[in-house]
Amino acid sequence: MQLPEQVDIFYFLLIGTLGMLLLSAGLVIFFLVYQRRLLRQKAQLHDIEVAHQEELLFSNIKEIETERKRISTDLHDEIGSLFSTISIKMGQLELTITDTSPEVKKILDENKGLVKLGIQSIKRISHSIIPPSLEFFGLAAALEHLCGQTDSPVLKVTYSAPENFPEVSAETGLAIYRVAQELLSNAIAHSGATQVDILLQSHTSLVLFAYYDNGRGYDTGDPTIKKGLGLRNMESRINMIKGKLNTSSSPGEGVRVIIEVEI
Amino acid sequence: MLKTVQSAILQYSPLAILPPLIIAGIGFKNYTRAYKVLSLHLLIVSILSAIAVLLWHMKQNNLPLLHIYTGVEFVMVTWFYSYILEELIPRKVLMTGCIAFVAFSLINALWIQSWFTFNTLPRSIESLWVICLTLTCYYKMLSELKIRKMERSPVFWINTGFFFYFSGALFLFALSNYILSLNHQLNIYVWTLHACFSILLYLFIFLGLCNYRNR
Repeated sequence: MQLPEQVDIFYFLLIGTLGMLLLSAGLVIFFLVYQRRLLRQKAQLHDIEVAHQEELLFSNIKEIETERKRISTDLHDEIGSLFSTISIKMGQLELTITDTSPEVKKILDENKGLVKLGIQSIKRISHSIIPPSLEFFGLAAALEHLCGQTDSPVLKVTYSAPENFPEVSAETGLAIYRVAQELLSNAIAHSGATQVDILLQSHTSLVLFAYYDNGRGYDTGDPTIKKGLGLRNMESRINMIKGKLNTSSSPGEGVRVIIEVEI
Repeated sequence: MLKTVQSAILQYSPLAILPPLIIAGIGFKNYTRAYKVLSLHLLIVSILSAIAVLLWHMKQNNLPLLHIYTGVEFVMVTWFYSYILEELIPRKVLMTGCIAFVAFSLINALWIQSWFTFNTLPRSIESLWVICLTLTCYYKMLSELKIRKMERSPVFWINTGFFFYFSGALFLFALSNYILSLNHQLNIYVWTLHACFSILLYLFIFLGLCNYRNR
């Protein structure tokens, strides 16, 4: 038979032990709950950071386009008009000059040629920065003009778009146009392609842009190639207009790009 | 009924080490150093437990073995945590602790508490030491936040096993000699409780090693 003190000791021990066990269990539960909370907070912070980075990137792209437009306008309006003035003055000089020797005529002709070349170069550079056809005639016309300019005996560019292609916002049009510019630039500079097909379509509220070339293709898993081909830039532009860009390629299989944008 | 359950727990609790030991044996080659140390710990504990049970069946006092077991357990568990906590606690600190504890255990067995009594002092110090290591491990897991699903982390299960065992058994270790002097039946109850904690410990280690295999 146990003495009362022994029973007390036993209960003291039991309660003490169970108490320690409960305390430990409580601590472990607290640990698990707190850990989940910290992870949630970390994920939220990460999402905020990503959204902020995206905002900065889009703001950057907008700034670049604004600057491009300013440069294009200044180039056309100021330098272009300067060259036009020089051309007029050259004409006046030709009329007033009394010395009609072949050497003088040759110098005058050469200068007229240089001025004409200067005017054409300014027009070309200014239009390649911001194409006027995009602003005045829309995306379909601008892409047609771009494909026409790029088409050559070395690189055949075919373009297809419906006649009643709907109007898209300036932002959407510019984003798709820039992507097309980048893709054609890559086709000329890197891919060794001989054929490029561009298709523009629309279905109810969806615009579809498809690009295909028969070049050497690339490994889509290589991040350095992605950066070098401006693919990240293209992705950013399409993300900015809430579109989807899908790229598929493999070495020797050319490049396929599909863009879908809701309008 | 209670006596039967009690007897079964006391008799079969040493077998609780077998599942984690088997898992450790199967996965040993692919383990990192920390888990290899843990596997070695399980093996040594199994051997010592087997010898202790044998001596008990031969009606011999197996308490001297407990003194050795305590020292070995301290060193092995600290070694395990030296790999887990290597970024937080320098290994030299933990190894110095090991040397100091082993020296103290020997001094305790030779001059303070006899070889043939419970080594309550070293056991209690060991419990507090391991509780501190387990709490440090929890702190490390919280501050790093590398693990998304704790229930799939081997370290979480093993650490929790050690935490529950040493927290629960702290009182038992501290008062074991006193209880033995009071009443034999009380002593049986206390060591039945300890056996339950042991089963819990090895169950958690088993779960931890299973999660290691499934990573």
